[in-house]
Amino acid sequence: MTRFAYLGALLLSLGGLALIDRRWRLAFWAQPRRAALTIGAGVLAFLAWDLAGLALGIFARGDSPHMTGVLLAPELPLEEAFFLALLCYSALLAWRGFDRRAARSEATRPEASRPGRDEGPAVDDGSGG
Amino acid sequence: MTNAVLDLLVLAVLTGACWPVLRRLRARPLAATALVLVVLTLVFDTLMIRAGLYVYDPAKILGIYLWGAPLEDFAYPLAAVVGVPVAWTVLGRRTGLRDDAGLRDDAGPRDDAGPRDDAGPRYDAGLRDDAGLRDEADPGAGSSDLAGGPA
Repeated sequence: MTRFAYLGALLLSLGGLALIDRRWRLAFWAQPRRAALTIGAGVLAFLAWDLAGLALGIFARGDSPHMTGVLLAPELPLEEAFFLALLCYSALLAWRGFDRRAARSEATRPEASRPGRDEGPAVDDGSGG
Repeated sequence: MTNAVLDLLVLAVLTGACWPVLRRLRARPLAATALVLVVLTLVFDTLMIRAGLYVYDPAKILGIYLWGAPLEDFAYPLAAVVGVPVAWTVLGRRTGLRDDAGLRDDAGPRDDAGPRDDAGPRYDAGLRDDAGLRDEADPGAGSSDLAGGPA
């Protein structure tokens, strides 16, 4: 059972995110196809980044007993795909939640919805973050 | 190539590619998301490395650690904050889907017909329905289908 510890923890975490998603209808419970494509694209892009890091010898799989040993590619464990899905899903839910709240607070402040007023600061802030 | 160089390269290319969409997203929600993910990375990257899930070649990393997480590892959450909201926004534009999160409703002129057309009716739907009912009630039941229909 030890070798399923990491995968199990990842699946448990993904399940927890799904509960948040369902409760506030943020991603899969709002637009399932769009959510799946977003996270799928994110996972593939991060896997490519991982492969580049592995090819350059920057990192390698550890000798942890907590992994299944199933590999997607040399040195790339199956669990990494689930970890990257967790990373992308966390990012999507957090952003959707924060952005929805910002949209609602803008809607309650009439002067903030004028294009001239709001466009300026938003662009400035964007270049910083 | 060291990890720092690879990560900066990836972040530069990603941010450059995403910039036209990214700059039109609300900045504060993106910053808040970045903060959350960076803190999660600080904790869980440390734990994952301590658990021996992966190892680094000491010669390929800067050797600067925040708690137990190599500085370079924070490139992953930052990339997620840039790439995921942009992917969501672009995918919504392509499929014609739209909801409250995404492009700012008030950003820029009406050059971006896709999201705007979808956003409008949703917010206005309640008001329009009320107006429709009032219009129908006003002229009396005798008016023709042609008069009532398009309203």
